Amino acid sequence: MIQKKICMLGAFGVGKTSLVSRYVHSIFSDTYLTTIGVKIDKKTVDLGHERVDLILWDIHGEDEYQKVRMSYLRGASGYLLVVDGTRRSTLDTALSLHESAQRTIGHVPFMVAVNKADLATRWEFDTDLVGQLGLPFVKTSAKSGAQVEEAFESLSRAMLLV
Amino acid sequence: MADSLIEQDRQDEDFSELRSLIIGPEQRELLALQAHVLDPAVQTRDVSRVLPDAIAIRANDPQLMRALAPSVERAVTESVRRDPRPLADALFPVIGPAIRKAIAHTLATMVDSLNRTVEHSLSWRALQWRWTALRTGKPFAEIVLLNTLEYQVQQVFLIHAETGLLLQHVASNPKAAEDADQISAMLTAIRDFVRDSFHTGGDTLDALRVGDLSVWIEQGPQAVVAGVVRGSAPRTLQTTFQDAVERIHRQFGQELEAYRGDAAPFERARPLLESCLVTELRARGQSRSYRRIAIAAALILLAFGAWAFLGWRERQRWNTYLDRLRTEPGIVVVSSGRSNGRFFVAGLRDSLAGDPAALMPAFDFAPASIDSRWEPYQSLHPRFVIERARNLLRPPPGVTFAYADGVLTAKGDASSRWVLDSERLAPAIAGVRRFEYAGPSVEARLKEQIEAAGVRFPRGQARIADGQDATLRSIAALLTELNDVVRARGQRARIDVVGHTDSDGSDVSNGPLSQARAAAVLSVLRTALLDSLDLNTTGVGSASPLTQGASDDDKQRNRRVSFRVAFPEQPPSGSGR
Repeated sequence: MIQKKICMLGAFGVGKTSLVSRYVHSIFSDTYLTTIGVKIDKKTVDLGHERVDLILWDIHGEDEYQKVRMSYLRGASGYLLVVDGTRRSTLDTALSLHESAQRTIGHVPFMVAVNKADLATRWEFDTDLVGQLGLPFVKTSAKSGAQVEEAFESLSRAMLLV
Repeated sequence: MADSLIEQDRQDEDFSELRSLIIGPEQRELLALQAHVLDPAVQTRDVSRVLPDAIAIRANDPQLMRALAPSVERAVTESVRRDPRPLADALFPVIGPAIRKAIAHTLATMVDSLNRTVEHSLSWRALQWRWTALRTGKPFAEIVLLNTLEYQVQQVFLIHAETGLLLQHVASNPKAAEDADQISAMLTAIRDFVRDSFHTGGDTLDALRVGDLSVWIEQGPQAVVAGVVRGSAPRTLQTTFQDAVERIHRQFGQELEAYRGDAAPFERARPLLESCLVTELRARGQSRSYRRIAIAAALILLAFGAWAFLGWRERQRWNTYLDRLRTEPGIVVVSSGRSNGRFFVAGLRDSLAGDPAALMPAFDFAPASIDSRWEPYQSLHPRFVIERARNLLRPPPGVTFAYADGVLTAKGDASSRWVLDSERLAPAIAGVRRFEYAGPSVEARLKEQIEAAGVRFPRGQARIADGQDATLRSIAALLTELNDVVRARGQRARIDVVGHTDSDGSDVSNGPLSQARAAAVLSVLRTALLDSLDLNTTGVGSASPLTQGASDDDKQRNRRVSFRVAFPEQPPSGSGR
């Protein structure tokens, strides 16, 4: 069994916790997020020939009051940048976090999850923009669960190739 | 052509011979070696000769063990599959003692467990634990463990330092292993949080503590050992963890370096981590020590209880004794108590009262064990007043006393003298204000006696008849006594000496005759000192006969002198005063 550390990064309220809450095994309360700024979850991904235990570090969303503790990224094999499609500013935050993450842990696999696909009509930006930036992305919906598994699987495959 | 061929052959033979002479031996050796090398049977023999030594030389080489292990395992498996008996026979000498040892160990553990169970089931402490288990809903065994545990390393995590991923985990309770990977990551997060928040620099979090549960963290360059400890562990436990971290880095340095998420190589680290799963129960000796202390405390309590009980009982007896003393007439307890371990009592005591010391044995007190101090006094208790009256007044037989409200009353037949003396002396007795005589008054008795007396005379004469001396002495004595009485009272009495005649003769003659008879008697009585009596004579002739008959006897009885007693100030009837 392979274990990998994955960090969930993104602005506050983009749905990081919601994105994983339906798919993970968790023993810790969400209050950990507001206390020490991170909550540990575990998700097992079956990649056919191999199963990977993803230890998810759901890091408190960055906002004007709290910065992401980049030390939590140390040793991560990859990270998921979560963006709220209905808020353009969250993409900027994600890009900023992406840069910080690369400075902290180097070039490790990552994936942009443009969340709230169920509210696509209210999106403030086109995902082509993400594509143009050269970032791998997937449209997800924490509400419906759409593409959530795929996002983790894609990221896991990328991590195993490293 | 033919010759040349012959010559050529001859030269070849010579050359061969020469070659045979020069390198023949080596050639033969080479051929022999070739045959030796190429012959599997020979090779097997050769290898078999060096194999034991070779294996002995590389006995500790892990590579050799890894190489041999699959073959050996397969060989053993195949051997057992074919016929398990040879292996069973071979292992028999080992398995027997091993099984016996295992059974003995299990039995010893069971007995120990049984002992503990019995000990923990029947003691007062066990009852408390059962109550705690009932109250908290926890199993009794857990409560027992919590209370008997000095400390226990319940889980040990081997954590990859950089990623926080779990490399290996051991636990005393297998259920605890379920979420070990998340706990491992969370411990790492907390460690990072503390380091970032408090800028500890190179120092890292080395312990967490919640109640009696603590997490000891031993940091290595590439791996961290974290132990979950319940109870109070000694600092030497840290050495155990440090040793484990160091050995892991020594043995798994390459694996740690190459770690990419596969924890399989660290399966071999389990024994190292399991050596950290230490459990220390509270020493039996300590338990026995506690028991001895408890027994000693119980004995002390018992002794104290007995002492307190005996003291209480002694105090009860003492109080009862004091109550008894207080009810004893003639004894007044003023103070009492205990001083320097001895009871003391002080007060007033009438000399006629009972002896306080004589009462002590009835209450299990030795007189010598109690300090008593009694000051004399005179009690006004009727018993003592009467006793003192008896001692002082010495009443005649038949006279009894009563005492109430300061009045001492005498009943019974007593002489006037005694009554008079008693009236005089009784007020000297403490508590007696007045003496009363409850019989007929002295005056009345004397009056009655005097008035009943009579002095007889011969017919027609004023001379006292012969044989009247005793009567006269008696009357004189009565008068003297009456004189004393009225004088004592400060009074006076009037005594009329009345002369009588019989019915013979005329009134003319009888009148003077009766007067003369009264004067004759008075002249005799005046010899006594009767200064408080007013003595008068009178003659009534035959006017007041004693009897109305006309016989000589009647007439003789009427020829007499009688007495009348009067008290100008009449004393109360029946009163002695």
